[in-house]
Amino acid sequence: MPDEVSTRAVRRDGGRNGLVTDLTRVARELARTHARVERSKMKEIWLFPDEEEREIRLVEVETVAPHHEGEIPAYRFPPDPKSRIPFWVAIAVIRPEDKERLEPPAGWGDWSGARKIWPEGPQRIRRIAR
Amino acid sequence: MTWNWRTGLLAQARSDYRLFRHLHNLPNPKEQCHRLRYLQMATEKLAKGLMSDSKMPPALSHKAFATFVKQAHKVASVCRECGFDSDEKGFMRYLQDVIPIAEAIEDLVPKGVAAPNAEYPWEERRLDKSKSIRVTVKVPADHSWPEWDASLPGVAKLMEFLEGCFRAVEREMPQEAD
Repeated sequence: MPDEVSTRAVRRDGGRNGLVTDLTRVARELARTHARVERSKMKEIWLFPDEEEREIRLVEVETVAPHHEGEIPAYRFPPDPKSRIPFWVAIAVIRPEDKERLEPPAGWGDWSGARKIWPEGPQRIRRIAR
Repeated sequence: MTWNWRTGLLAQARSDYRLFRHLHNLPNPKEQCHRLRYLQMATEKLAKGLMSDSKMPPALSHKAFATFVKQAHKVASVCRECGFDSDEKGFMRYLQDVIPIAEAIEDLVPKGVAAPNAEYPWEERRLDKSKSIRVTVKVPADHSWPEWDASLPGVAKLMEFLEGCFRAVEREMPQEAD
């Protein structure tokens, strides 16, 4: 099953680096995993802040996603120590054209507080190229 | 309340799904088996209900959900409630991402002593260094469930799909059952 491959990818990386506890780093790894499997559909992945640093909050912008009205629905998943994701994860999936139109999930703030974590910026690309 | 096979299955699926949602904040991540068990039961009955003609009882097999996901684009109410009202091809592409995890959920039912499942302990047999068989008993409540890992790409889409299906069920129920 292709999904198992992606799970192992996260675990393998987690194992190399020891226990991954940095929320942003885990979020980036999660984003890379999702984007790797859904590369043809995935356009962007945004990380929204959680002041308490308890939850990874992702909005995935994909060409194949339902149309929503009003607030974007998000789905939450509990921490899983074995996959080295020691945070709650909340994921929402939207279409590119809905990004300007829809409100982020309640309590996530607005788009100005979000950071695009996939595709990764030029700094990351330079580091890999070196 | 008067039920037929279709509304009866959908009513029980709705109740199982409520329990699944209610168990959201279990403190021990290993106890995901309980959520997964209700998710498996809810999705099986949901699929059987939405594929039912109201008269015939469902097949005894637990396998129904993945089959339903593969056909869900043909169910107009589900298509509409999932936000793909006039985009059946788009919905089909979306469902492709849900199928692998739907199959994993379908596999959570108990099936013999050697298969992982969300309900009963099972055993693993391995050859040790002395080439003798070593049997280890595994327990659902002490198992990490990759089927329910946030790193699975299809998992958010599955949840969204289920919400759409149950919205379609809500719209159908008052008309069918009195």
